[in-house]
Amino acid sequence: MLENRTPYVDEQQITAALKEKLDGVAPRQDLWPLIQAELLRRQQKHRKWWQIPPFGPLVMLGGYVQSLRLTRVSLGSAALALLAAWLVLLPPWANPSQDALARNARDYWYDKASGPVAESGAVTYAAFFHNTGDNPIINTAHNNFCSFSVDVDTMSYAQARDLVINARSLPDPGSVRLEGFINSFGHGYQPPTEGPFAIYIEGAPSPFGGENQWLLRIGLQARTTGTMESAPNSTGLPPVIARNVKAQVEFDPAVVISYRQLGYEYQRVPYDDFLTINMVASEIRAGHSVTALFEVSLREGAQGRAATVHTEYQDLDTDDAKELIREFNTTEFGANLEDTTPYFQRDAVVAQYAEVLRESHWAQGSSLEEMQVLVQKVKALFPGDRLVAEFAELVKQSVVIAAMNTS
Amino acid sequence: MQEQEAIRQCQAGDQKALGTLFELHHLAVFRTAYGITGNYDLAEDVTQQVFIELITAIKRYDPKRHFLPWLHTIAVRRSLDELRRPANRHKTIPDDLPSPGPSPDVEAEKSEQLAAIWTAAGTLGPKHRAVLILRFYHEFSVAEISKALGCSSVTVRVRLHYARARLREILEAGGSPLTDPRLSKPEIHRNGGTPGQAAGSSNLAQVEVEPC
Repeated sequence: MLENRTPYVDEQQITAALKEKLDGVAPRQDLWPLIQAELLRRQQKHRKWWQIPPFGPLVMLGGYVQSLRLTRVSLGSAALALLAAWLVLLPPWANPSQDALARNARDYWYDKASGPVAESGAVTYAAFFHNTGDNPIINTAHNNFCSFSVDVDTMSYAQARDLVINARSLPDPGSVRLEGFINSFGHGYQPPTEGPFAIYIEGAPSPFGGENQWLLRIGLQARTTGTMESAPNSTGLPPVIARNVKAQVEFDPAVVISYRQLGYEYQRVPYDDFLTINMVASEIRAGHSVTALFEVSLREGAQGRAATVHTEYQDLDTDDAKELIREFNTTEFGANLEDTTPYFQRDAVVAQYAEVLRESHWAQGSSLEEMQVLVQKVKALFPGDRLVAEFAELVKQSVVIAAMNTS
Repeated sequence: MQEQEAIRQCQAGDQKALGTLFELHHLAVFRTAYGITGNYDLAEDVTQQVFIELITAIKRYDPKRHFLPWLHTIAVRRSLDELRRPANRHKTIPDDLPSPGPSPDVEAEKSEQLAAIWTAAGTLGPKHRAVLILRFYHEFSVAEISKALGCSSVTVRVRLHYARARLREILEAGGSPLTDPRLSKPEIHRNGGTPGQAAGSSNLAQVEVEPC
């Protein structure tokens, strides 16, 4: 009745307008596998202690034995035995908080796609590092998002360099951080003239993967100048460009079958763990740059958007959350590794060196001897570069030390 | 029959039946979420949340009610929740919404009108967009919408009234063609309502702030 007295836009036209727009929209990805996976994850997260093997089978076996009256052991004794088994097999004090992320990487349901995992409590390098195993290959149908920190600690490479060149010993595998290695070198990205930072993506056939394996190099480069408000302070650090910078890669399941993140093993972020995503958020300063590598398997003949890099940051002036997005299409992949930039080729070799040093499952077919040939090619691409020359020397010395250790 | 059987099995805890319900209704849920949030990513998130929540919420479903309006109770609330998040507040209805494609010349004017209405709808608040979508896209009754939104039928009617009047205002301001040139811009009185309106449903400002 109300509608009859007041002038409005015609109902039929509103219906037609909504139908015209909404009938054409649909999810861009198959959501059902994601829903199933989330339900499974919740089930596992909320399962009771008796549902965790071996207690379920043990209880059932105990009940069966009891029912057959094959033993005179009372239920009370059986319960005590179970309690003792629980204390021996899964003692609560054997899970220190420092292993929490490693457990995440090991136990998360989607990590079961393939690949090796860290042994429980495999702390192999003093108090600084513990071996968090190797990143698994992740099926994009289960999880097509992967976050990475834009703030990388390069101490691992500095330590390896010191050990090899000065102490004549190879670093402990648990101490080698691939992302620390590749981010110890300049990235060669062009600083943006607008916006706080720019995203760069480059792809080519993976030098260490099989057929249809591609390597993606994703980089963020901050602009080189800051605002007056964030000018250098007494610490002498460059001005802050953006705060709470978070980076996430979204792979299109229609194009990418699976992916593997190279490095970042100790801070792998489950896609829905916002707490951990916020933990890796950090501010970036003028001139800052970071590189992350991913190995992806493409669907045969698939064309289109392979990956989208989503970055979110807090604007310094307005405190608003802003987004910067960059898509990468299959047509942008280089045909050969040699067609890519020298920086891409160098990062591929540095990553391979780190994988060999950390005795990664994914580098089982590689050796330090092979690295010597590859590093000479890279050295030729960077004539006069002191860091690359030092890296070549590092590889050479590593081969000698490895040979001495073997003999 | 397929829906009823799936609901029954789902209430018994069968997750496979949830797949059937997903197949039947995920597009409707996605489109509602997209219409409210105006963002593909948020709409996909909402659709996932709705069906994840459904596995537990369906135990509260009364088979006497129509299922789709009931399902939209979750969809609308989750969409509004998503928009309330500080990180999503800047994500409004974008101008680059997908177009169905180029229209033939004869249809161009009509298509332009429809596009103008859609753009104007994007400037409404999310609760008003929700009401418009449920009423004019899904063609739910006012009673069903009021249950879905958890507010009274009067509030739903007033929101419909406000949304349609506001659409007209926006279209007029933008110079877009209106449906009937004889109709004039509604005179909305913040204190007394539109002249001639019945008492109790006239004060838009009061109804608008009513929590729902």
